[in-house]
Amino acid sequence: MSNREDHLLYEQYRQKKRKEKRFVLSWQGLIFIAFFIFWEVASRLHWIDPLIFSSPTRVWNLFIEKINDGSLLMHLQITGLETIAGFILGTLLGIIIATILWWSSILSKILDPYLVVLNAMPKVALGPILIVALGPGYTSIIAMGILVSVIITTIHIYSAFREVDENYIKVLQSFQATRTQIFKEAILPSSIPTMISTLKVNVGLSWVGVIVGEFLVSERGLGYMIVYGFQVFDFNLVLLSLIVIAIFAAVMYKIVEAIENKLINHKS
Amino acid sequence: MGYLTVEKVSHLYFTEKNFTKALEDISLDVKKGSFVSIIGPSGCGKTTLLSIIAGLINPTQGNVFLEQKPLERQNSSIGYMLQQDYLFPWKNIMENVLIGPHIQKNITNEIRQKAKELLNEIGIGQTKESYPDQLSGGMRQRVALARTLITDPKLLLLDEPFSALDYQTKLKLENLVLNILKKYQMTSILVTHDIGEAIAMSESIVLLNSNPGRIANVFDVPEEIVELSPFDSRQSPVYSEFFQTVWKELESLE
Repeated sequence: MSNREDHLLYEQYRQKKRKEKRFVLSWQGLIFIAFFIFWEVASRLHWIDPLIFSSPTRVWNLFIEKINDGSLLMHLQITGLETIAGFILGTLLGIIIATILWWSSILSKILDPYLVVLNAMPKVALGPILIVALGPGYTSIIAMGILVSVIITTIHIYSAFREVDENYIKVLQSFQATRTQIFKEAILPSSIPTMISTLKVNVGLSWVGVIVGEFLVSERGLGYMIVYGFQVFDFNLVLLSLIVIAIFAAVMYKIVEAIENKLINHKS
Repeated sequence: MGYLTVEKVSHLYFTEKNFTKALEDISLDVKKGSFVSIIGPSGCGKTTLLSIIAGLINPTQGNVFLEQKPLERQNSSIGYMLQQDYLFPWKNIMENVLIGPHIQKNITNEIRQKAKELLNEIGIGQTKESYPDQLSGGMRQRVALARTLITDPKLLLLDEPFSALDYQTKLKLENLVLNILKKYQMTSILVTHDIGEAIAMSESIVLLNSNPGRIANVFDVPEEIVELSPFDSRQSPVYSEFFQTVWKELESLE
């Protein structure tokens, strides 16, 4: 008897949750649609300058045109690959440097002020030097993507390594574990949550690095589309690139989130 | 010379501005298969002494011998149980118990079998596949005990292993741990701030005073209590009497 009542209460609770979810979703959709309608209307009625702010229909028409001649896909592919490369290499390099710092406490003491300076410096300002050093091409754009994320990754992950509870290390030491074993069994696995949150930050950072890199050198890519659109005063092109970037940055973020869920819920 | 000999051990801790003497001239003999407790006011260097015996820190002065050999030349492990279980949350119970053999690279079917038997013996055989966060505090501390015993340590060091548990769990676990230790004829040293626990579990009690930690007194626990299980000891009239003696001595130090 009471069992049925419990189920009823549970059902009510679930209904309430579902209702709340629907409410949130419908508002999210509404804001999305309202934004584009407002943009369209404001542009047509010249509340905003259509030459600068374009309009959804114009961007859409350009989108169709650029899809059909294949150029959008080409630009997207290039920028996407550069970003993914910058993102993965930047994160890996950061983890490797953090590992070296953990290994040698004296080295980390020596390098500490340099890390602080490098972290505070705006990395994109190094762009011109990179281009001269590595040549105007993919290499310097990817290098830019790496540069933007590597220092902050190093700092975050190194501090995560150091925050691992000493007692876990004590347990391993009582079995005569070597430093490599301590790293593999305790330090690395306990820092996985931090690594994932750094990944999330790095998704955004590597887009910044790559787009700025493309601003400076490239003849292809979404960053180039923005600069080109700006130079010929075609803001339809600028806005189209912006929207494509927003969508793909969000997709990458969602992928990282999916990896996170998989790694963190592996046991249940 | 006993099974474990601590010889004139002193230890200093250095900071940039200052140094403190944690231990001074500690000498101690522990017989094979016996259970010794170390008690004293907080900050008397109990944990430092335990870490030195475990070989985790080198004393500034003095030596520790296990079976007449200096500690550095020991290759078999010394078991160490901490205030909390410190089970690795990403490993299941079986993997946690086998961490010692895993580190020493000798996981065999025999060891696996032994781990299973050990878990059954301490009453948590059904949890092999679970993860630490699915277990209660008492169960987790039992897993930590199994993890320590699996490598056949020559010496078991217990650093307030029951202090984070609720009273009921603690009493149950004291009985269980002492039973297991007796069965394996383990030589054990317990650090605690709980006089009752020290009396109920051990054969002799070393009282340290603080700043710097020195041996103030060594008590032999009355035979009647040693014979009894920790839970029954607490009911014995001799227990309360002996408790008073130790209590007064400890009071006079603070």
